[in-house]
Amino acid sequence: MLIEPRLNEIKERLLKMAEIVENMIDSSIKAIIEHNPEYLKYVEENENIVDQMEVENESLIITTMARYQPEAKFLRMLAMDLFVNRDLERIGDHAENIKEHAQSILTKPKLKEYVDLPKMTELTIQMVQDAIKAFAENDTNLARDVIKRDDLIDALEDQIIRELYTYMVEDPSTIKVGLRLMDVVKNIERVADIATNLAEEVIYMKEGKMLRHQELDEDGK
Amino acid sequence: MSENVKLQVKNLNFYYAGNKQALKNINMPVYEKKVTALIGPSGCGKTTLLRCFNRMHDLYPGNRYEGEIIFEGKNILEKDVDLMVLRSKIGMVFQKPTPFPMSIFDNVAYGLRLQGIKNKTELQDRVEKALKDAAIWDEVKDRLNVSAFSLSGGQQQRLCIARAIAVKPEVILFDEPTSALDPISTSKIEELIVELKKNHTIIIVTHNMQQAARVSDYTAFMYLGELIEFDLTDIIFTKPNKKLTEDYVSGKFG
Repeated sequence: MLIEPRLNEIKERLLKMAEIVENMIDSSIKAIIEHNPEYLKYVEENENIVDQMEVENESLIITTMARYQPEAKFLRMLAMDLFVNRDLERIGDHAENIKEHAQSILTKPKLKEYVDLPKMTELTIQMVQDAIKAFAENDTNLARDVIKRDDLIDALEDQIIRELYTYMVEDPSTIKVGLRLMDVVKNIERVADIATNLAEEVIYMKEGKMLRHQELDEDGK
Repeated sequence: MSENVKLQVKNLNFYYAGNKQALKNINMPVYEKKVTALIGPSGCGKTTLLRCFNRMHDLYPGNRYEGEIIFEGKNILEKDVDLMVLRSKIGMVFQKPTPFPMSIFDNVAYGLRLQGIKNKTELQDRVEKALKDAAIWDEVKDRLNVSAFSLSGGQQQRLCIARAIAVKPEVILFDEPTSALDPISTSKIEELIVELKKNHTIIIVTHNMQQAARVSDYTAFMYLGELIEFDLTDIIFTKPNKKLTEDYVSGKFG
């Protein structure tokens, strides 16, 4: 079918974009955890690239829709590609937000040895990677698994924020950094939400079921 | 654009017998090894324009060309042009499959023999290559001596394409090549056209604008004998410059 090479091209572009934004999140958090601003360079170098990729991808997807009049499975694929494209750009935005907080956080001494923040980040990046893998391979089982993990991320967010409150109450000089770290954690939690959205979109693509704004039962349905 | 221009239409006007003007001051390029689609409502002049490229209108008395079509540095509308040579360089495939009443092999070999090729091995090699390039070799290789009429409509059309490409034309003109075919045959021919453009410049007339959107690189929208807009197919089908073009491609008329 004439549309297939175009669909493959779009998919390759999105996979490349996914890799960049995952690394942006990873780098921005590493800068905080290791108290080293060098890691922020990756985010700075790729901010505009990701924005440019989003614009180009969107144009390519819409042109493909106009030219090949896709129906059913192909239409859902292209709709999903549009959602994924936006979602990835938003992940990039969150990395930029974290970078800005990091720039301020790094002007002060390190608050503590971070334990939960790297854990939360690692789990979140894994969610994004698995959601993208589910997208690349049309794997709805993996997608359902990603959706289930969102609760754990929410729990970690609560835990970290409670701990940060404790620090700030005990020592008000840590409030500036503490508040910034809270915002960093919220950005990570939003990235996990986006990974969940991505996974829901994969299920929509394959099964035609829109799961957004619904809870999954024990069987993942 | 950095594309090469294969054919350049310059101030082309065309009159059918009785001085009936059918084309008005057409100016457009045809880019090398690209597919250019001519679209527009019935009577807009797209088939009339297509048939100028290989001087098909000469077959009927009283038809008159004004202006130029430049091909290989020469205006092919001039009276001293050798039409047989022109038509071997600019081939045509018609709407209704038109196999000759002879075997599959002889259909494809016909043009080669006209060119003076007599060597049996060369003929067999050229026929096989043409049938392969037309994506029909596997279906006919064991029955090359069978009548072309034994093939289905879609197969006959691919045979006609093989016949056209056997003489190694630089340009192939397709005049509504799939309007007489079922959807699956249509899909095969469209994929074939996209494959053929690797080695040929293609101009296709189609009243099915979705087909034009699928297969072409450039699209010319015509209306009442005039060229309204010519651009990349991506542009014509997403953000055309002229309102009339947008009305046509979004189905408001035609």
